[in-house]
Amino acid sequence: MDQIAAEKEPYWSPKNKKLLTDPFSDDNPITIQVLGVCSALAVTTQLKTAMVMAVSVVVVLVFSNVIISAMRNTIPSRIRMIVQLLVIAGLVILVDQVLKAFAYDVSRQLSVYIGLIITNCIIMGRLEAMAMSNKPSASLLDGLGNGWGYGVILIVVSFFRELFGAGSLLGIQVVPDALYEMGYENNGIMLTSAAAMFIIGVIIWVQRARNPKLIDAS
Amino acid sequence: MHSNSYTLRYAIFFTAFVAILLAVAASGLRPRQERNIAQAKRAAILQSVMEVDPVTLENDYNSLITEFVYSIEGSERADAIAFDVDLKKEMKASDSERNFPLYIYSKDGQTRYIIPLQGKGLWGPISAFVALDADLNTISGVVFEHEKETPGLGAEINTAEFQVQWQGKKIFGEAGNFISVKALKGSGNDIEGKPHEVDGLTGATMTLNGVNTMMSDELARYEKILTSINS
Repeated sequence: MDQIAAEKEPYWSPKNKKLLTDPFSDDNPITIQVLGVCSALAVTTQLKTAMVMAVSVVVVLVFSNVIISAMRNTIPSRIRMIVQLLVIAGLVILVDQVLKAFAYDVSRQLSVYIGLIITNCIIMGRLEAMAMSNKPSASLLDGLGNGWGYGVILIVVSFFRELFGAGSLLGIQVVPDALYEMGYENNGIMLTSAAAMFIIGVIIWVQRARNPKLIDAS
Repeated sequence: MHSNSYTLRYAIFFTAFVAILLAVAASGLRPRQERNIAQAKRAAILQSVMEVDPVTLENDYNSLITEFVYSIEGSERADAIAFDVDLKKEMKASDSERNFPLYIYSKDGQTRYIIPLQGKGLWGPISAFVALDADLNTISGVVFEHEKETPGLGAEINTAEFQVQWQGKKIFGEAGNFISVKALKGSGNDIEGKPHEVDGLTGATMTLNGVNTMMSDELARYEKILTSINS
């Protein structure tokens, strides 16, 4: 721990170490830290877009964590937020350009969400709490852990939304036609953002019910 | 604490570094990106009339599609290249100046006339390729594309289920007057025996308003062009 570390304590909890390797830990970015909820509502109507979003966030989070961490002793503290934003925005634009060149179909589906990564509070939150005060190796693990923790929630939410909202998974119909003929209908509310809020709420509920120490932790 | 001059120098050099990096990446990747955009457009044009095989896409397109550009009065403009016409820019020009591209598909004596259209959805631009049968009246297939419509709602205009409904609909009435085809509000409407209506999408009214405007206003501009081809 160097001098800068002493100045900036992590925002939320001192349990960052545990968070490095345990994505299901007591410090999940969405359900406990309640960060990145906006994008969790927006990109979870389909499993596929949620998966690509999860991978993109992991990539951007890991790289920006490592880069900021490597630069942390040179960054003037008065402009550190702007430097962080520059690194994030630069990386996101780079990811967008590369996707457009090598995975055009994916990039067309993601065009709306790519911009959301820049403003995703998880990334800036991790940079401030972790990368600014820790070594690149630890920040890399933190990026992986938090990115994955975010992605898991996204995938779980989109699984239920696509299954009940469209009767399909990854675009393939899984609810049999026979069920529709018997009068089953897709649930339209699952396609709206409100449904994501309900599902995240249920996940938080289940998580806290199973892990009583969380009740006082936040 | 870093000095003011250090902070200033840091900001300037770092910004310049990121700017140069992005500029190099963007210009280096541009040829590939432009190729992808052109391929996607070819795929959409062909998709309005046939199943698209990504492997043979370019060959299929070159051998099956002939490109034309018309003026609104129906005279051919030989100097313009249909594929390169940017509809978003064209829509800002006056009708008499505008270029109207038309793609003609012919295979085994079958002819289809593919009209590209551009419009506005709820969040961003939408576009369509409308394929007409040889009678220049019956729709044989449509492809709708969008950039930013809501996934699961407006974005459903891009699904096969929605697009297949347009097949067999007619854009002219029995007296030969232009009527076009419109999507109704909400889903579950009875469209049996109605040649100018298709079922809508729940929760996508604003996007469908854009689709309907595009299908009426923009398609209407092709009326004289279709008449001149027919005669």
